[in-house]
Amino acid sequence: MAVLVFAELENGKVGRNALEVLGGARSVADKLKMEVLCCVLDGDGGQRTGELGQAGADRVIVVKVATANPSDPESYLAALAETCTGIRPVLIMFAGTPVGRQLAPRVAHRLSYGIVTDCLSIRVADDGREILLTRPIYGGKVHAVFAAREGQVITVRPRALRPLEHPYRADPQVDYVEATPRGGQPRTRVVEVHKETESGVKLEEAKVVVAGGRGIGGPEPFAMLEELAGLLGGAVGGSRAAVDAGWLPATRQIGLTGKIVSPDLYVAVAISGSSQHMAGVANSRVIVGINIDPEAPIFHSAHLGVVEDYREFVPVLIEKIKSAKAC
Amino acid sequence: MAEPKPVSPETRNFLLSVGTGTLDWCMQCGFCTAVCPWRLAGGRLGTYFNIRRIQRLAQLGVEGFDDEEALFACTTCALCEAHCPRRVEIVANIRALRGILVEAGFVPQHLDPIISSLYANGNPWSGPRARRLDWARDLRLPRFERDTEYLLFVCCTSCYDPRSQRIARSVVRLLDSAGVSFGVIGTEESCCGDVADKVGAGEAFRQLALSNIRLFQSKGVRRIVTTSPHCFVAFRDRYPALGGEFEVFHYTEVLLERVRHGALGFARRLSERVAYHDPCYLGRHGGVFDAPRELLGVVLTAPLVELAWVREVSHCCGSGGGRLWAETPKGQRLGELRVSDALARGARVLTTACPYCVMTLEADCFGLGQQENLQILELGELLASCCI
Amino acid sequence: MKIVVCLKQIPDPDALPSDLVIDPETGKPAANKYPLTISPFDENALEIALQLKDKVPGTQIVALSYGPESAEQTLRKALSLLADEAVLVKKETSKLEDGYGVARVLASAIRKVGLPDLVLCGRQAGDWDAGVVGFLLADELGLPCVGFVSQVVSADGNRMVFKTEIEGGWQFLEAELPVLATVTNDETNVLRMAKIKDIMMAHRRKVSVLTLSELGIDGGDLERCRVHGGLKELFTPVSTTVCEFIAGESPAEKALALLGKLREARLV
Ligand SMILES: Cc1cc2nc3c(=O)[nH]c(=O)nc-3n(C[C@H](O)[C@H](O)[C@H](O)COP(=O)(O)OP(=O)(O)OC[C@H]3O[C@@H](n4cnc5c(N)ncnc54)[C@H](O)[C@@H]3O)c2cc1C
Ligand code: SF4
Ligand code: SF4
Repeated sequence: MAVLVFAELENGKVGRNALEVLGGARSVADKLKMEVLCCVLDGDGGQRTGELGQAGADRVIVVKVATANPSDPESYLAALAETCTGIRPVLIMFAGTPVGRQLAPRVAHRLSYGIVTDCLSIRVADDGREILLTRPIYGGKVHAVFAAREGQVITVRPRALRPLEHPYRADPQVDYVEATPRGGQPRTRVVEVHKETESGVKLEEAKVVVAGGRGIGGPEPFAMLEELAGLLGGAVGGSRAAVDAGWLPATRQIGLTGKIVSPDLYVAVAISGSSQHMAGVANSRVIVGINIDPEAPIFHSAHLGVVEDYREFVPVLIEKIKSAKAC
Repeated sequence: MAEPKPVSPETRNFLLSVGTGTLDWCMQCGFCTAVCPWRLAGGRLGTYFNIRRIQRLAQLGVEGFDDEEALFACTTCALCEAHCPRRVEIVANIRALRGILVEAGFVPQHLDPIISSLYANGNPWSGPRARRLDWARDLRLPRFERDTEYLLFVCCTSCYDPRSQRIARSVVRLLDSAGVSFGVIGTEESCCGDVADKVGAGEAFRQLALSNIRLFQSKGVRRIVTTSPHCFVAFRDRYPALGGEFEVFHYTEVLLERVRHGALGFARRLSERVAYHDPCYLGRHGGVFDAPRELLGVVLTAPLVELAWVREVSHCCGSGGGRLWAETPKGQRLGELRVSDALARGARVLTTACPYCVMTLEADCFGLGQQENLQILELGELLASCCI
Repeated sequence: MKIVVCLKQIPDPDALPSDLVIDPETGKPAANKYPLTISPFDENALEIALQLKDKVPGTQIVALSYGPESAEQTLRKALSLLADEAVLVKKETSKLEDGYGVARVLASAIRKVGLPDLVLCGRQAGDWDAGVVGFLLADELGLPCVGFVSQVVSADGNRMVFKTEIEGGWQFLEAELPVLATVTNDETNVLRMAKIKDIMMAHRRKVSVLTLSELGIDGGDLERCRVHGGLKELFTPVSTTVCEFIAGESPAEKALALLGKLREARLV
């Protein structure tokens, strides 16, 4: 009996998502006295087995699929599902990334497992018999707790679980699985991949995030937010309303269905603070809300609140930071 | 030249059937467009939004009358109606056309959060229901009881907006000094629904109105005094059709009656040059032109400054009909016209009797950089400052 | 080209109060007074279908919904945007069903109306936010699946190129038709407004109604197929954060005060 983690690497490295899921799997497996198996794609993670062991895996299974492309789940879903079928783990865990969210339901379907997505916590019940999964519904206004089935696939919300604090083991057992290609040409093909290489800081990793919402009122004022973020060494994002209005690219959306961020400082400018938006920033250390409306829901989650028209406040704030830096 | 578009009798009949019955009376004289204040604002809407044209296209069922930008530009100020020789119910037509879109699930983006909040919180400001009475935190506010004469209904804006809360507090102070028997219900109240009604969110309006009607009836309300002309008009003109018959007054009417009976006096007089802006909903929609002026007459030592467009032909501040939540570029706003006119006439104070007008005129006065030269005061605030 | 767009009717997410109470039996708000709407990502999917119809002459759009009678409203919205056909599979129970059951129903309905070249679903529904139905549906139909599509870049003959969201960026992905795509929002796929004339015409058009038995599905089966684990509990998370409002007479004073606080917390 085992807990299996599918580890997706980020630019060839064991990134935060994989560390978190392995950390979470380790603590569940320890309580259930089980092993943690970690599945990676060859090429993607074949060389990183040591790090995966340190992150919590007892065994690493390197799946070799000739035609696999990590960002196209279709190209290796069958191989992965087959590998899982051979093992039949009690719990199969994916990070809640676009790839993980695509694979999880389909792997579950192929194994006739249960599927619960977007888990915020995984807990072994006190009697040690049940695994309890908590996930938000209705945009986070309500939380639902599920008892995992015998045979359960889950995805885990980024930043919800913690990586292990100490390396687990450096030399996990490594197995190689060669997937037998099944008839016909692959039906999907990646043509071109764009990673965000914008100068400045990556949203998910930024220590400071400045975000703008519908109240910003147009694309131009985002230059102001860029300037503020620049001074604080941070990145700019926004609410879905700002994205839908065309003021920001969709890759900059923060929230339930955008990026999940966990900076030290999150500055929400002219964002009302809907539950869907706050779902993406809940783990920020300090949240500052700048809103013209003292009743805006953002002030229910913000640590520091400024009731002002951002058009007057942000320029002054920029100026004060500049003059503070000058001396 | 634009492509010719086909005339559709079918569309025409459909429009008539959903409440644009008076469209057919229109003879296309164009008075409405000529007097519409957007003409004077000088911006894009001044040319893009043409009410006569919208009605013409709708009359014929020709595509184009449902252009979102134009259809949601109207402030429902009813100035056009006041001039229409055929008495076309222009505002009702606009409301019905908007209603077709909104009820079918097509809500303009800027109005989406407003309508949603009306459902979620019973007010357009996303304010928690439980905090509806926060404006009166430190006042000893009488509760409405069966033997109370008036229910005081405070506009959502004055419940939640800190600037606007001063209006509600002033009105309470005045009613108190005038010895009026009044009380509030508070957190169970919902928005009067005027904004929902005017943007075409008929179902939201119906739900809000019915919940208020039930509440008022259960508490034994017979007379209502409102702080806002929008609530005043909604209760008086729109609720009866839903079974809510109440005697409705704007607070200026109630106060004036008390002044006349000598029950309310003012200790202080103002010598500043004060101008009065007729809110469209108090004046044209509500028919109350004199009460505010007479009240001002009692406290002003100098004659009231009358603006260029007043009383029945007063110009809108730009915030009715859902426009309070729409963005209009600076330099093209209706409120700027009112502020400039007041300044040109040497007024130092521009007073009005509507929370929307106050919010808009104040913002536009700031926008023009004239805040040192012209103070925007709600009439209740001005009067309260005179009753030491 | 033929496209099926799956649309779910849900309580308008923006109209729900923060102290929402959900009935665990039905999975819906306990108070039954919230306006209903098309789930937001399904609207994005519909917009993508409409854009394809604008570009590729002869494109047929079938709007499909599994839901109670009220979901007809949802389908009318699609008709008023000129979807060619609307099909409602009537839900026979008010009980909460899981993604497996829904995917099975949708798959049978799609087979019944004829397998299209493209099936579009929202990436997740705006009520339970699970995000599994589209992917399960692909498996039920035996179609390849492209997830998190924000745009269709090109469509020619039997291939389509999609722009899809990936971790830290986006990619262009080519797929052979038929294919199923789940759609995420971006600035190009906000649902358009309808013309009033088309709204009117939509009132008169027919929504075909299918029953589960016509699809050969036993409703009781669906209730039993609750594989997603036992729902144990629903609760409202409480926030314990208390906001400290920055005081000051002017924006400048507040800016200084805020900077002071941030410095204290070693954030600047
Ligand atoms: C399934 C689903 C998923 C979703 N996912 C996401 C997601 O990932 N991310 C997300 O953000 N949303 C998401 N949403 C949408 C979410 O519900 C809200 O609609 C959205 O977050 C609102 O954006 P906003 O706060 O920018 O706009 P609004 O709610 O309109 O707020 C604008 C705010 O700006 C303030 N303001 C206006 N002018 C000024 C000024 N001059 N100065 C200062 N303040 C001003 C206003 O007071 C108001 O509070 C999702 C919804 C659903 C149903
Ligand atoms: S003023 Fe009246 S009759 Fe003349 S065009 Fe306008 S609506 Fe028609
Ligand atoms: S109601 Fe006012 S804003 Fe609307 S068309 Fe008439 S005059 Fe113009």
